Order: sequence, then C-alpha cells, then structure tokens
Amino acid sequence: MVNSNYDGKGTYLIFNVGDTIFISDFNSQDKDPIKSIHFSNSNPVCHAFDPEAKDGHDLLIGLSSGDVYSVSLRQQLQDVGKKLVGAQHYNKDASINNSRCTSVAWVPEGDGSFVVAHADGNLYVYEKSKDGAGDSSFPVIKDQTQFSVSHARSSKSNPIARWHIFQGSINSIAFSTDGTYLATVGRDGYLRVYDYSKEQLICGGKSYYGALLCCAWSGDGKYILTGGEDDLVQVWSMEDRKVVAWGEGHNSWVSGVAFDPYWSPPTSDDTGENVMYRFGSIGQDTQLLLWDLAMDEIVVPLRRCPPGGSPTFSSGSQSSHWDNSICPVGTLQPAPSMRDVPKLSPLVAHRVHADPLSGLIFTQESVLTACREGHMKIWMRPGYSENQSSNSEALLSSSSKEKPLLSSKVGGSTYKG
Amino acid sequence: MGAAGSKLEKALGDQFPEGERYFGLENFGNTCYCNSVLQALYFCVPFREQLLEYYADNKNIGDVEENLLTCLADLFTQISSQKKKTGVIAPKRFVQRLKKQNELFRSYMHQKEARAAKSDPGTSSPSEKTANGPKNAQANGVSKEPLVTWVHKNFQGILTNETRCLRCETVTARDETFFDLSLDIEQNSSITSCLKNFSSTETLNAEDKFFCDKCCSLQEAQKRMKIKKPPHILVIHLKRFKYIEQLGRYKKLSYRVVFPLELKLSNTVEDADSEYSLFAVVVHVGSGPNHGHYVSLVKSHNHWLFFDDENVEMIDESAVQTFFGSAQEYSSNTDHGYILFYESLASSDKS
Repeated sequence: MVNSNYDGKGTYLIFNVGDTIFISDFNSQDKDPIKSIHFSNSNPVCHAFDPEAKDGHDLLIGLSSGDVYSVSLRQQLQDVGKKLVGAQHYNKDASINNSRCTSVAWVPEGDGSFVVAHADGNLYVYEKSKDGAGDSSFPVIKDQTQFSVSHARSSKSNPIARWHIFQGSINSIAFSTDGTYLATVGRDGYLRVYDYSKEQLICGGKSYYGALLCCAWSGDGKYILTGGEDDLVQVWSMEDRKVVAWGEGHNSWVSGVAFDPYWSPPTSDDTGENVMYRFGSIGQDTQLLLWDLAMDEIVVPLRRCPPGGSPTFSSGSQSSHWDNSICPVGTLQPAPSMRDVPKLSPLVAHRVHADPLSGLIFTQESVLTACREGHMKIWMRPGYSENQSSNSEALLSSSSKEKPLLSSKVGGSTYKG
Repeated sequence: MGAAGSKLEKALGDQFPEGERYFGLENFGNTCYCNSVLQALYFCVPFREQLLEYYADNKNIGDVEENLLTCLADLFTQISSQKKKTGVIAPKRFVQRLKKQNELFRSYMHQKEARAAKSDPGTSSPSEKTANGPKNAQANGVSKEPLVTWVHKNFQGILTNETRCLRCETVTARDETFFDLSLDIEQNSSITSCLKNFSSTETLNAEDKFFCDKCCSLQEAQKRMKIKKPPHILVIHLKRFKYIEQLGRYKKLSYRVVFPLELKLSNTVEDADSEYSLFAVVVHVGSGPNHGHYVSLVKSHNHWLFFDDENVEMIDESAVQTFFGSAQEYSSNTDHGYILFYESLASSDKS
C-alpha cells in the first residue's frame, strides 16, 4: 500500500487506496498527494518503484484484475501541472493471467526486467523494453502441484517466462538485495527461496500453520523474515536453511515485516561476533512491533522440556529435522514443532492505528506505517523528531477513505539510502 | 429453487463430487440457525458417515425410541439418498423433535443444556440450541446406546483446570469434558490469540481465594485451563453476544476476529502440534442479538459452499475472509463468523 522511494532529488510516497494510486512529496509539510492515477475497472493492489532505473519506466502497478501498468514516474514528476499517465500495459485485459496481482518486483540489476506474482500460484517475468503485444502462450501446466518454469514460445512474447510455484495464491515476493535469490510466500504456508537466474528451488519451509502473507530480506541476504496467519514473525536463516526464531507478540495475523537497514548495533567490547539486526513487524492487530535479533539467542535452540517428561530430548518425527545438520539443497522443510524453535519477544509493541495494518517502511529518519483504511503515520526516530513538529507523529489521511481495500498489499519497498 | 440447483451444478460442472448431495433446507420460521448448524454437521464427514451407518443398522432393529439423534440420522439419510444432486429438503421431523426436546429441557433445566444456553447468551429462540443438539441426545436417556461413544469420539475433548496454591505450591488438576470452546473475543484479534487468552493464567486472590486441600484453608492461587485431550472435531464458539451491564441488555460484538483455514492448538498439556482444518462456519448476519439471520459456509471436496436456508451457492475460498467481522464499530458489513468447525488432520483414531 505504501512505498517510499528515493530518486536522488527527493523522496516520494507511493500508495494505493481504493481504485487510485497516489504520489506524495515526503518532504512537504502537508503531504497531500501531488499526483494520482485512477483506474476505472479494477483496483491497484501492489506497486514497485525502481530507483536504479536510468530512464523511462520506473514504477510498476499491479491490479486486482491481473493487469499490470508501468509508469515513468520520475520523468512525469518534473512536470507538476501534468496528469500522471501509465506508459505500458501488460497482461492487458488479463489475457495471459486473469487472477489478481498479489505482488510486483523489479529484478535487482535485472536490466529492466520485472516479476509479477498472481493469486493462482503463477509468476511471470517481463521485460520493460518489450511491448506486451506479441503472442504470449505458454504450455499447459501438466502437474499443478509441481514447480515448473516455462519460457514463452515466441521470442516476441512479453512475459518471457512463467514460473508455476504451486497451486494457490502467492501472497508476496521479494528479491535479495543483489538479485541472486527470489523468495515467495503463499497460501500453503510455505516460504520458497529460488536461485533466480538458475530458476531452481534452493530451500524453504512451512509456517507453523496457515498461510504466509509477507516476506522481506535482510540487507546482507542472510536472513528472511516472514509473517502470516499463525501470528508469528518467522526468521529464516539462509546459511542454516531453516527457521531460527519465532517472534511471539502479535495478537492477529502478521501483515508486514521489514529489516531496519539504518540501524547499527551498539559497539560492543567483544570481538563483534554477536551480530545483531533490528526489524519491525505489523499486524492485523493494529500493532507495530520492533525486534532485535542477537546471534547468541538463536544459535542454541532453547528446548523446553515437556511437563513431566524427561529432560532428554525425544527424537520425535517432526522435530528430528532440527537435529540434522542441514537439509539438502532444493528441499522444503515441514512445519517445525513449537518447542524446537527459539522464541523472540518484541522490544516495543504499540497500537499505531485503529485498523489492521498493511504497510511498514523504514527510512533514515522515520518509520512509516499504513493501515487498510488509507491512513499513514510517520514515526520519527529519536534524534530526528526536532525536524518535525513537536508532535513526533504526523498523520496523513488519504482522501478516498470511503473505499477501503479488502486486502491491500505492500509492494516491496525499494528504498535506497 | 430448481434453477438455483442447476446453477450450482453448472458452476461445479464435471467437478461435482461423486455421490455428494448439496441440498438447501427449508425455513419454518426462525429456523435458519438450525439449518446452518445442520449443514455444518452434515459436512462433518466422519460424523455424517457414522450417523448414516447407525441409521442403517438401527432400521432393522426398529425399536429405538425416537430422539434427536434418530431424527438427525433420518434427515441425513434423506439428504444423502436423494436422486437429484441438488435441491431443497424440509427438515420437518427434526425441527419438531427439537422443539419438543427443548420444552423437555426447559422443565428439567439440564446442566448441559444450561451450559449450552450460557454459551449462547444472546439467543433465546429454541432453535439456538442445536449446536449441541446431537450431543444432548445423550443426556436425554439414550446414554446406554453405543452411538453416544462415537458422538463423543468425534466432538469430545478434555480440558484440565490446573490450580496452583501459592502457599504450598501444590497443583490441583480437575478434568472436565467439552464439546465446544466458548471464547471471549477482542477487536482486531485472531482465534489463535483468543485461544491463548482462554488458557492464560488467572490469579485467584482477595474475595476469590482458592480452598487448598493441603493447607486446609483459603489461599491465593493461580489457575489456568489447558486442553488435555484435543477433540477430533474442534468447535469454537465466538462470544459475539455480550451482556452489557450499563445497557441492561445483550449487544452483538461485530469485532474483526480472523480465523485461519488451518490451525494448531498451543494451549495443550502436551506439545501436540496437531493441525486442524476449517470445514464449516456458522455466520450470524445482522447488527443486533435479537434479530438477524444465520447462514453457513461449508467446505466440501475442496470447494467452499454458501448455505442460506433453501439456497446453495459456490463461493471462492478467498471470500471466507469477508466474514471475519468489522474493524470499526459501525460498518455496513454485518456478516460475522460465529461458530467455527475445525477437523483434525491427524489420522483419526477410529477403531
């Protein structure tokens, strides 16, 4: 829903409410939208901005109809008086895929290629330089339950490839910063991590239960956060290829997760082995939670003995995978047992809105939260608050409040410092 | 009605599950709640199959006294043996029996019924009590029948009430059986969170001290409820009808309470990690406790169906989330999940 992006000249907020995408100048006092695009037939549900785009189209918008638009946002921001218009139209009239877009992402260092995920379990790779008009047929998916990648028959086709992830909604996708890996989460509760260029599954695992709704990478590509319908914030280690911690603190589904890229651990006296990360999560319980991830907390799993049971750990069927050193590449792990995963508690828990939350972004000066009713709040970091009004909270209410989104999605934040 | 039936058949096409029947139920005036619960129970497949089996077995014996369960068996048999795949059936005999039974219960005020009534505080019409209907048959003098055991096997779980005396540290555990869990709800929460609150530790002190047998006196104590034996079919009742003292009446809580399609119980005595899958939701439609309508959502053969008395429609799985409730107090959406039916995915221990 909200996506703040830096273009070298300013910072703009991109957010969707109801049937419209709005652009606001983040540095303006009132933060009133300066541009907007209204869609008449369908609602925009996800978007992504490419700050690296040297020219041309830099904003992608996915609609609930399945259609995708690209926009040359930076170029059009130069002309204040002009109405914002879409540039290219992909999957026009849902001709390639008629299920809703759930997530869009630019491929990092991908030379203008981008990925669109859909609610039917497929994702498509497009190239912005190609127009979307060629013959775009793909072979029939033989086995809906199996992962498969097909390349378009025609070289003129855009999309150029279709990835069938599984049978069910892909709820969110995220590329690692360098573009090596693509993570997907979905209705079946699985996190899947692919080597993007090799088009191969590397690792993944199931939630405790229920669908996963969001995912985000750490800046160094070592960890992935996921959140979902089990109310847990899950920390996945790429090195261990397993869940290394569960964050307990939300009282409802976790709708957004993000690492804080601007936070650095306090300098310690030791050799610095206790690398730490700070991350945030938002939920349908209207709470913003902030967490610390300390290595010494997650290296040794804290095992709780079952009441009355012997302290020696039984090699139960579900938990045995934990003891195995590492699982083979390309396999998915079952849901871990509750007692096997170390638990984290939030540092801060705060009800930030009256409605379920849908967006979370960390900027250098602030933390942004958005809710499903179209409100955004900017929470200044300590030390930055004097730049703003004495109240460290600025409320931005969008104009089209009467059109709440049934389920809005956060486009992957492509913020660069 | 016939057109609606054929519409559903058209929607399902060749995906219409073999041998399955999708029948609406006629409303006899205020029986939509009864109808909604009946549909949920019908699509509780292990329960249905055992009930049909029971009916087939007892048809020959023929001398079982009519009770709620035999009427239910009769209705289920009637539905499952229909020639047509879709249509409407009038659950006349069952509703009559239910009304009779409730009169009976009123006079005895049976304990179990009292509890059922307590769990549905905002509702006073006789049809409201069907949720526990088949189980109550047991209380009505048919407990010698073997059928009771499989009703129990499907729906019964055991809660343990652990009380720890804060003086002598002795833990007193008292077990009780349950057929459904009635949960207090909060705005913008999840079923997971409501279950956690249900099992949270409560301190008994001041006026509310605990009599410790070991100390032989009233002591401060800590109390919590945990699930000792999770039931095969987990029925969760959301306390949406709350008595508001200031108002002197019941009020419907339209809170948004999200329920996942898959669930695990964390408030168990042993780390069970056994997974449940949602297969039916009874929905209350309306803004207040004294009026409104009931419908049900039912999952059958991986399709979701919407039952509204006579009408049966197919809905998308993603439409289930429109019945979570409202994040704001005043909302045009008044269709709220009220009773949730989850089935254990662990291999059932049916012998």
